[in-house]
Amino acid sequence: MTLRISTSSNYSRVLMGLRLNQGRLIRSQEQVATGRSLLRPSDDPIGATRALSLTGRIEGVARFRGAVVSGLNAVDSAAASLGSGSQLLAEARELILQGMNGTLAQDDREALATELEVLRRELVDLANTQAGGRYLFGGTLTNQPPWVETTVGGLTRVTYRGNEEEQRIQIGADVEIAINVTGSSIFGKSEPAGAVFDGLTGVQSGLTADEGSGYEYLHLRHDSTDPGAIGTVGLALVNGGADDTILNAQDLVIDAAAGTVQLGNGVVRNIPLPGDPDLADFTIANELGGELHLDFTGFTGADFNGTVTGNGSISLDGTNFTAIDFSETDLELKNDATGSVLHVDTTAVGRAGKETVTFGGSLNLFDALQGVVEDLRNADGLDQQELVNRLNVRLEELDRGGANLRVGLGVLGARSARLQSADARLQGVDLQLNGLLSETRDADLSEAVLDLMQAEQTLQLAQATGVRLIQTTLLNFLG
Amino acid sequence: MSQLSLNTGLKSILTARYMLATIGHNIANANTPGYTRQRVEIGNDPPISLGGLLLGSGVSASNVQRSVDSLLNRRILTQVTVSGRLESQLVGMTEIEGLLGELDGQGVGGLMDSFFTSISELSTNPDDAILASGVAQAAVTLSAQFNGISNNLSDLKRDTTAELGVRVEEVNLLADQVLALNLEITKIEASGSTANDLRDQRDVALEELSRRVDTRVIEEANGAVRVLVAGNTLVSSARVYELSVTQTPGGDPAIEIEGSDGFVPVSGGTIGGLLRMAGSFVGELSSEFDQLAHNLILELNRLHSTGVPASGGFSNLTGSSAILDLDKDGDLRDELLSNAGLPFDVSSGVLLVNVNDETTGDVDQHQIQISETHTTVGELLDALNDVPNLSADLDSFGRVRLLADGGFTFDFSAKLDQNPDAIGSFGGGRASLGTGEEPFALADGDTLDLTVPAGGTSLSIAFNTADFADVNAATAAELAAVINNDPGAQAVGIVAADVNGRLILQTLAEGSTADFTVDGGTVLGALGWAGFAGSTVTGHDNAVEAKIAGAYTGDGDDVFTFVPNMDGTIGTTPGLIVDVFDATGNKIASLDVGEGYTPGEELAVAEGITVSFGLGDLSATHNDVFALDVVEDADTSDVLVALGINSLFVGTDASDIALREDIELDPTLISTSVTGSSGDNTLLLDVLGLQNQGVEGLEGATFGRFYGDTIGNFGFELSSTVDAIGANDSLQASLGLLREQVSGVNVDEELVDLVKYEQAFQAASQFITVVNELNDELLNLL
Repeated sequence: MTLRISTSSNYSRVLMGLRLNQGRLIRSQEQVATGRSLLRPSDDPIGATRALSLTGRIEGVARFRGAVVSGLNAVDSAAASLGSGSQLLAEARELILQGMNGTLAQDDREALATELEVLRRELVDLANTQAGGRYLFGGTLTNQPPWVETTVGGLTRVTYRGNEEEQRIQIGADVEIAINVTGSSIFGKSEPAGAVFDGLTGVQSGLTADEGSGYEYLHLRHDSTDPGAIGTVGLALVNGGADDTILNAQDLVIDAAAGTVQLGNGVVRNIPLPGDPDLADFTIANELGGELHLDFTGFTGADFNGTVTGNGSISLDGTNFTAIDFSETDLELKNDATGSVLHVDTTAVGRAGKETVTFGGSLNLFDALQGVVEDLRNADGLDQQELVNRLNVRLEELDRGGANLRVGLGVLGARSARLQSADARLQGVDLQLNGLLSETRDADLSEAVLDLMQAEQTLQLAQATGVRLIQTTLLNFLG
Repeated sequence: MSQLSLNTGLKSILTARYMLATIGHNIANANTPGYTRQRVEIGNDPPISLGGLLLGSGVSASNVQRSVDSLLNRRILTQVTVSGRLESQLVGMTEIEGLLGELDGQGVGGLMDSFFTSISELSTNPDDAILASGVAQAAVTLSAQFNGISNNLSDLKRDTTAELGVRVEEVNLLADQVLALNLEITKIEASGSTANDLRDQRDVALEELSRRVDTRVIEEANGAVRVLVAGNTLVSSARVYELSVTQTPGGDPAIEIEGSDGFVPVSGGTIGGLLRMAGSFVGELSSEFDQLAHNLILELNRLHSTGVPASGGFSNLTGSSAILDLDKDGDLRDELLSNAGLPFDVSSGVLLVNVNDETTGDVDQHQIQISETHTTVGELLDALNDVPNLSADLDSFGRVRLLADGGFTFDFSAKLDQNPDAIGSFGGGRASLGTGEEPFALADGDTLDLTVPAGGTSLSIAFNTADFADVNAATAAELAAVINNDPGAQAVGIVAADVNGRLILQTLAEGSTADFTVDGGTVLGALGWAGFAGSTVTGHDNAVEAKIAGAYTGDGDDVFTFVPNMDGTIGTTPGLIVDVFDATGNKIASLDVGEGYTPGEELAVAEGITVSFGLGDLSATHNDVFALDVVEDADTSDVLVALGINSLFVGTDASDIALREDIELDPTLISTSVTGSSGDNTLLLDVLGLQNQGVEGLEGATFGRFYGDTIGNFGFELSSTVDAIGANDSLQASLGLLREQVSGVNVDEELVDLVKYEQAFQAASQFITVVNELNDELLNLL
């Protein structure tokens, strides 16, 4: 038996065919127009989940790349500043070497000091470099200048107000990298060591450890001179010894036969003869330069071998003086303004003067430079050799500082390289993920166009055949 | 005879006319939905015996029949029910798919990514106000998307419920129609004929009914049908039981039927589909979004509330969640914190409160113990008020409000106490004597005899059973309380403290002139001080300053205890070591602070923490000690999250998630770190870390994963619905074709029949003419 086909089913069949083919055509057209095969989650739920996870990961990579770019910016700015800082230090070194030249007049030294002062300021400015509104060398305290010039106990100091923290950024799922070097590690770090004196007065470090930062001045003041037995050979102190700078018990030896006089291990001098202009105020110094003023007017001409004692006081802050007991090996001195505690051994003290105390572990480059400036201005009236000695100490400090600066430069360079390689790697990952996403989500255009054409053709065929099917009826022939 | 022939001719003509009429009816209804092709049943009439012959008496039409396959019709009804359900679901799902906006980056997933990206940008420059605004903007957009989805889903539910009402009304009308047709059909068919067209109409009504609900149709002998909906009678032989829309206790729409309690479990048809959409489907989807938003709020706020903005601590803060008067006694303070109507759970734990002195930079750290079962709102407020320079109260809405005194700020971060030895029990200025670790086996009435200062006033402090929970296992805290409450001790300036289970006895005075003599007393043995009887403890001019730096990177909370190994001077005495122990008593570091150590030099302890010691003397003999609390999570109780204090997001789920209002106004209030340093981004990095962490409230999935699964599952539902519709459509189409095969009208076929019966009619007419002529012939004979 043949199938019965109802007329209306003919129509609906044709209609269904048209609808189906039109749907296909529209779907293909949509794919071609958007370039995507995955437009809604229902198109391919698994693919949609995958595409979501991929877009999330691509966003993550973009995020990491953003962090890398901003990190590179900070690291490179910091490195540029340190590069300039390194040059500044080289210039400063040159100037200090010039200052050590013995033939230089005080005026020239002043000029050098002024120049160094300028360099120091520039260095402070560099240490306070900002990039994008934040300070680069203050640890995580980025909103305030990390290095601030202050006056501590009458001394010009630059102090660090930043912290020691690293600023880290995330450049991978579990990869963090620090993008800063702290100011203290670059400009203010040196190897921990005990307090160091520049060796002017013969004061030495005491037994107990010290506490303090940067450098300070230790004042050794001459208060009075005990002439001992010098009266026995007709000698007297000039003006009660007010201009004397000797401290501690010093041997005075007069060798009448040789016509010489010597204080401690100082330079042997000839006894002034009557008529000598210095006769009433003859200055003799010990090995440290501690001076004793003697009046030789009534000199008996006899040999003498006795002790002259300079009494004095010592102070760390320049205000509160304590009388020196020259047998003390662990005298505690404090500077309440700075909080420093210093322990000194005064047994070898030989002269009065202003001694620089450099505390271990915390001297910064700026203060070292400031020290050079102060030394060059020579407010303390140091003699040539002492000045050179002090400048040598400063030079060492500067060189140490320079080394730290170069270490910092190296660290930053390495980070910059790491960031760049991370960027390259992220770029690769980005490409790969985008490729995967495109594979998951995008339409194969040639295929989609082919589909489109096919759908178009099928629709046309369906239309053509549909028309013929509908038109065919017995009515055409009945008449 | 001629009578018979004429009669036969007449019947033949009539039959042909019936045929033609039916063909006309068929052709007329060729396109009428539900129309069933009708056929006239004809048969040859019984013969008449005439003259010993049996003569045929022609043809007659006995009945007009419908060409119907009732089994097929029943299958079609079932199929219609399925497609009704699928189609109504598809409409809702397609709408949801559009509003999710996913795959264009505008959905919650893309916006979550954008939010984390803005956090990442801020982390590269935590005090940048523009980047902070970026985070605020991203948070607002993300919240708005959550709110939008939540609103749209509830709109969808409302609209769906409204549509349900319309559909139910249609069902009732259709049921009325079926009942009316039943009556007419039984009336007509009682007389033996078939009510073809009425049955067609009823079939159409039943199909429409089945499109809306899952029905079962039972035809009775009299031609009436009974209709059951999910086991309940909708149309009986006598009446219609009307359906109506009601609500389940859960707020989902449900269907009721007249005369029966309980809900009708409609699962098929448009109504079944709508019920599923408005009920479980939208419900589950929106609860997944709620779950995601809830946990996003919880996890972000957990981090954010214990952080500090780049601009530093807070001078005031107000919570965003109000305490509710659940016991309705007009007093909010007596509510238990864990049962005060707060949107997030409060559990037992510790809250760390820091009060920062803005001028000196000192941090005063306090711990508040919170018990899930005991702590009330009032107790929390009291504990907060006990923190110096901080006050707390409830505002008129019942929200906790915190205010720091002028010159002070506060925060809740897990920062380190940078000066942990505030009392100076570790080489400090005070004359100080410590014990070993608790407990101490005291006896009732034990005494401690002291002379303060040495050679000055003598006093005796008595310890009684009443002072201790267990006098045989006295704690340092209990002992310290007795000493501090002793008027004699107060008079001479003797205080005691508990340093992590060790009792410290101290003078209030500092420096080498501060001293006291331990004269004796029965308690000495229990405290391990027997050897100190008669000896004098003296203070120091150079107090050791222990400074802590760094940030704790370890897991969990801990207490680090620092003790010297011998008596000596920092930086001077060879072999002087400070040992560091963790809470379980394991030695975690040995710090050489003897000869060669420069006072102030930082030494690494453990877990990211460094310490430096200033100049001074340490004494192992006098049990010098200090303890450092290291905290991983500054609020293990989640009380800040619950109260909405220093939160990033407010709200509890997708419907009300929002950026905290004052952060929206001033985005620099976003927490970036635990230290408050402008360049510290540790907290932001922790927030970024959330992305890759499994979240407890999301069954261990990450935010992205959970969302991806939600979208994926939804996509599956939708695509399987689309697929099912496709399959169902083709099944229905083939069933439809089958029915058309049986019941459909083929116009060509009818035309052939038309020609056939036209000719039959002509033939019959011709026959009558012939018979007539024969009759005429006969008459002419007359």
